[in-house]
Amino acid sequence: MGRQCGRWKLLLSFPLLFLVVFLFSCDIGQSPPPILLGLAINLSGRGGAAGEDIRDGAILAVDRINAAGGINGRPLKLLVRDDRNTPEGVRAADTSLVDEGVRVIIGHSTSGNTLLSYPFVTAKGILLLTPYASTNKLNGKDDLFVRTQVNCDLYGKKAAILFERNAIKSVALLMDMSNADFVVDWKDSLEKYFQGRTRVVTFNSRQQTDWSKLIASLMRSRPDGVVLLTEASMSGVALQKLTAAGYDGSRFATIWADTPELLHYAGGDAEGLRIITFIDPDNNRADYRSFSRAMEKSFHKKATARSSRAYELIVVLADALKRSEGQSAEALKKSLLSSEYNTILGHLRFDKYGDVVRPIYEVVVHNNQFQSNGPI
Amino acid sequence: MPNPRPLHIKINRVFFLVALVLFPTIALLSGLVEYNRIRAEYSAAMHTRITVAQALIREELFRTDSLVASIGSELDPGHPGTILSRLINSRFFELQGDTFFVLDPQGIVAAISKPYSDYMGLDFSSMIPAQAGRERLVRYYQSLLTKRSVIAIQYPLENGNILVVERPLDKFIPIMASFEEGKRYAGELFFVLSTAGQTIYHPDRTLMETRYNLGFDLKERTAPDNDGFFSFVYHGHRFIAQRQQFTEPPGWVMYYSVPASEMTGTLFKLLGSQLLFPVFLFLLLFFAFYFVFTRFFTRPVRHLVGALEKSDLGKGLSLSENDLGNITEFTTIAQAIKIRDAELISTAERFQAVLNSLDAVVHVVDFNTHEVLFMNSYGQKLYGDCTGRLCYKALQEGREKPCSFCTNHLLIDKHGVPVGVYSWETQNTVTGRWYDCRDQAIYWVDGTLARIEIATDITERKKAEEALLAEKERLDVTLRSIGDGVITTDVAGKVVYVNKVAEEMTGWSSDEARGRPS
Repeated sequence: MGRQCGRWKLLLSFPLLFLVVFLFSCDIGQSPPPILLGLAINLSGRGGAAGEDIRDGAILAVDRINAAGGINGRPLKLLVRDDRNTPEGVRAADTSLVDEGVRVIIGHSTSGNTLLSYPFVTAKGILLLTPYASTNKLNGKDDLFVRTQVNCDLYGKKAAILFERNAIKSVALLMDMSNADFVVDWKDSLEKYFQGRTRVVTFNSRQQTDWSKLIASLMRSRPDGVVLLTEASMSGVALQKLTAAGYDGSRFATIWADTPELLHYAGGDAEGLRIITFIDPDNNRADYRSFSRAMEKSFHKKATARSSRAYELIVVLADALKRSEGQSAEALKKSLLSSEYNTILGHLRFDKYGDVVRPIYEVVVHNNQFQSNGPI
Repeated sequence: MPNPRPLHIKINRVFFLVALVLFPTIALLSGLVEYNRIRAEYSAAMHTRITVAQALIREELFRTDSLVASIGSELDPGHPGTILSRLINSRFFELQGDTFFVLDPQGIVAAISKPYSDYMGLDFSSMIPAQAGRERLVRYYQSLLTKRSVIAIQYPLENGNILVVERPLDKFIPIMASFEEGKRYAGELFFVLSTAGQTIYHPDRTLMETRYNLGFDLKERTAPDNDGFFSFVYHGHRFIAQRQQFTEPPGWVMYYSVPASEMTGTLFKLLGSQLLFPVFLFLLLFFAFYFVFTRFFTRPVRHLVGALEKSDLGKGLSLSENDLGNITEFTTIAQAIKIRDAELISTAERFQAVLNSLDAVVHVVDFNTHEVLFMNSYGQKLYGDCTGRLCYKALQEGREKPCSFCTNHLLIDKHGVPVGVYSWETQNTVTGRWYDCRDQAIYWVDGTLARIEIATDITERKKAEEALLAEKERLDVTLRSIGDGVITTDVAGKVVYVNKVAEEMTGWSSDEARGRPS
């Protein structure tokens, strides 16, 4: 018996030896499953360059949160989808993320795309979060939608205050109808609060644009101010065209164009442009400076309004995820709404519907730089 | 002293230890050699493929060079508009899927591809920074014109003008796709990143279309070693890679990576195949040795031991050649044992003959069990053949336990070692006769400690001694009772005895007079 045992031990020792070597060569450790977050934004359509900033800011936030231990020990995993700024792209991006089993979808880059996404995503019981869509069509709804972007109603109100403060009696609005939900709501909100005259000129950046006609139409009523309801590249072109046409009135842009690319596209013609936005360019908070340094180190680019908005949203979301008392979208929304946040962009809180409450600033381009004129 | 173990277990241990040392050593040495060879092979192959891929990309990227060179040679400084109109009308770039624009020294669009003529006169100076020197520049961005990710090649023209040709990234896809069809390693990946880490080429088109910063995702990057290998973790998997910077565009880097598991897998496969033969040889040796050992050692030894255990001192060993595995050494050992047995038997017979010839009772008793091991013929005549019986029952009358006068304890020291002969006299309760006994502890033929006793019958001597004593007593009484003084001397004339009267006459007591000369 003893002799047989010795023999079997010997025979078994070889495969065991190899098994041990094999096991040591394999990664047998298991980490907790990640929490999946979806990011659906425009990366390759018109304005896709701004999408890069959104994505990079979000990636940096996730990376830093994971480096700090994740969400109660679970890492975050960000799944990025390009909605190509088309209805088909929006649906494809959302479907893909839903199929992946994400808990939250962050997006989209514009109000129009967010409205396309809203019924599909919320019907799936997934929380839709955005730092970009400001359409009024989602105001005051007790639904699975939360945003850190200010709604158009407040932008219109603040724009009206700004116009009155600068004695502007008439404005012409250049509206890019590729994001109709935003520009129309913005215009309606302005008209709701603004006592002066408004004139509307529309175009669609997804189609060929006849800039001569657009500019002529804008200047026909000789407005005191022109409001560019366009994204950065179209705003840049429009500013150049206005200068070329000899327009010397006040020029305004919205948060949609609040990116450094605007200055590239506008040449030197953005000087004096005023932007109505919730981003304070003179932000000197320590955590913002840290974020800004990290952006330059990791992505070799400066922090922008787009990247900081994405970063802010994910940090706020992570905080809520840590406190959430359940896995459902409703529990997460409750957690989001139950706190106030001091973020890299300042203080914010949500109302009972998930709409953000935060200050709005007047930003002016001076010497090819964004500068704050203070809250409106 | 450690417990003895069977030889086969000791040999198995030796085999195990040899295997334990041998195989890791072989694996380590072989692994090092193979690792270096595989690395060298990977390094050479990867370097070659990177060089080829780079050449293909550069070839495609700068296809516009020849046309631009011809423009430059034909450009009439006095009439720049001529060449610009020729450029626009030729539709050369559009036919290639590219777009172009020409900026004047102030960065104003002076010419542009036809679909974008609306952009004429715009200031692109912020988008396209002024260019110093005559070298072409390459930049990477999303085109304002086409909205696609493009490589923009800036050619300086005469008079400070700049020609910018925007080439969509997907230009490179067919070239690289056909190149990558000849995959050398499973899971291999080519990609090109810009200085900032943005994806310029990657098999995942989405990364290209969205200018994804893949550089950020390459975690835990190590520094390149002497072979140019470095590693990184991408989406939780480690990759081994080589990279090579483009000489132009500067800052672009081509990466060629393979999963680390691919290289280690190849190494393990090779090592496995190389170790298979020694393992097979070792097992073959092991089983061959096991068979030989069992057939020609263990079994003969077992038979030999069995035969020794069963053997009777008087009969000797009973073993055939076959039982001993037809091994000369074991046959020799068996023969030696047989010879020794024969000698032992002969010695024992001679010894018994000597003992049997003595006129004394000789018996040998087991020291511990008191079993009679041997009784000579003299003793057998008196006590019968009591071999195997207990001594105190066979040699004494009515005893149920060892005798109180048993001498065993006098025959050994405190360590149980025999100490010599002990002599004593006793009267046996069976025969009633007196014996002069000489006891000694000895080791019997089977190695057990035994007591040998040689008992010489002294009954007659005892009787004579008693008679002499009685006669002496009678003489003493007679001499004491007579009235004359009597002095007895020995042949030398010395006083032996003085009676009462003589004591009174001489004044010496009998004891004082004894030994004096008469």
